[in-house]
Amino acid sequence: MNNLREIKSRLRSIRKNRQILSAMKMVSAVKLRRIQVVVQASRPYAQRLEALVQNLLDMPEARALQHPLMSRRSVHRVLWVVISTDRGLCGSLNTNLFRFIQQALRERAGAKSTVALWLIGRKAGDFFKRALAKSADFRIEQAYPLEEAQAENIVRQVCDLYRKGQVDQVDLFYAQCKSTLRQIPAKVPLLPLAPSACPPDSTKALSPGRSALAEHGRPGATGTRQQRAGLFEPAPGTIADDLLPRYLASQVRQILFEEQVSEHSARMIMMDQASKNASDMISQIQLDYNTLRQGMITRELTDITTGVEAMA
Amino acid sequence: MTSFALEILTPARRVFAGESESMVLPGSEGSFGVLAGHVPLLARLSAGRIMVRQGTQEHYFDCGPGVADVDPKHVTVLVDSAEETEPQMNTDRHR
Repeated sequence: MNNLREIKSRLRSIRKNRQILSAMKMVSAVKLRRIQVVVQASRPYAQRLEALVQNLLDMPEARALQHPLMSRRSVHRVLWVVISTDRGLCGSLNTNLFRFIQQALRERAGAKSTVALWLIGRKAGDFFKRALAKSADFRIEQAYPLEEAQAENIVRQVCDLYRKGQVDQVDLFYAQCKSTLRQIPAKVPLLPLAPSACPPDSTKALSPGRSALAEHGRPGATGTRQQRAGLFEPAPGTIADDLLPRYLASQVRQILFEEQVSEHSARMIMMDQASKNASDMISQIQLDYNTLRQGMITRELTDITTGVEAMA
Repeated sequence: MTSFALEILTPARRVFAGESESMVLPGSEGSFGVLAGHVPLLARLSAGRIMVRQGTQEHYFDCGPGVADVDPKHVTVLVDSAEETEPQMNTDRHR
């Protein structure tokens, strides 16, 4: 009897769990859709700005400009901006990212440069503070939650550090969203700004009448656009001062969005998986319950029939 | 009158897309007008007001700082923020 009640309460608790899991899945789905709408709306700006800046960086004048954010120097101090989520329950999203970073840290063992980590997202903060206790091959620059991250602030601070020469290279790590089902850790170089994202092929990049982006067929690039003649207002240097941080901020903003897309996709998939598992468990336990219950009924019936037979 | 393709984009959304015959932009070195066939120009914009003429219609946008990429057939305005306003409203709040 006791056993039956135990099974029943177990069933009830798993059912409740499943309810919560599917609710969380719904919440993630809604959040995912919401963030996707935002990403969609922000894409034209980001793509245009990227096309514009890449086009500009490919111009011979830009190389002559020697902008401080483009100057390559010997690397002593590296800054890695790590973007993770604030909350867990999103499968191996963060674990994979952290493993990827630790791998990258191991790979540069013996290098003369030092690494500082800039941790965005509570999970990254927790993980690397613990990791720091074990090994001291990096230093933590800052750590704060993802929800407080603002692309403009990050870029302003990073550019400041770079201009002052306190860092010589800045890279960014985050969970790239390949699809709803697949997120992979990725490393994106931020500073110094490279003249072109495409492989160095100077004849192509400098050929007039075609932008490097158009050749790559990236969406948003205006393929028909002519190589721009140099009319700038104010001078190219001043424009670059304004444009490059703006471009970086746009890039970081897109990456912050993408991290959130990754997070919600991963969580949605995990919750879906978990509620399916709960359903499986429920049907198994229900079967056990039924068998047990049927057994008890049979036993009682046998008791009664034997009793009746004894009396007759 | 010939026209050019105009897009006004902010990080949050596309504020305007369409053909225009002429427009006035708040350049950081002083505001300037753009007609179709303008020489390629990259200009920094201050916060201010953009005027766009479409046929007989005029549109006004209050915008934050940004850049304008002008070439003979296209103008792309990339600003931090932009909102369509009425011509008589003052633009001070963006400054």
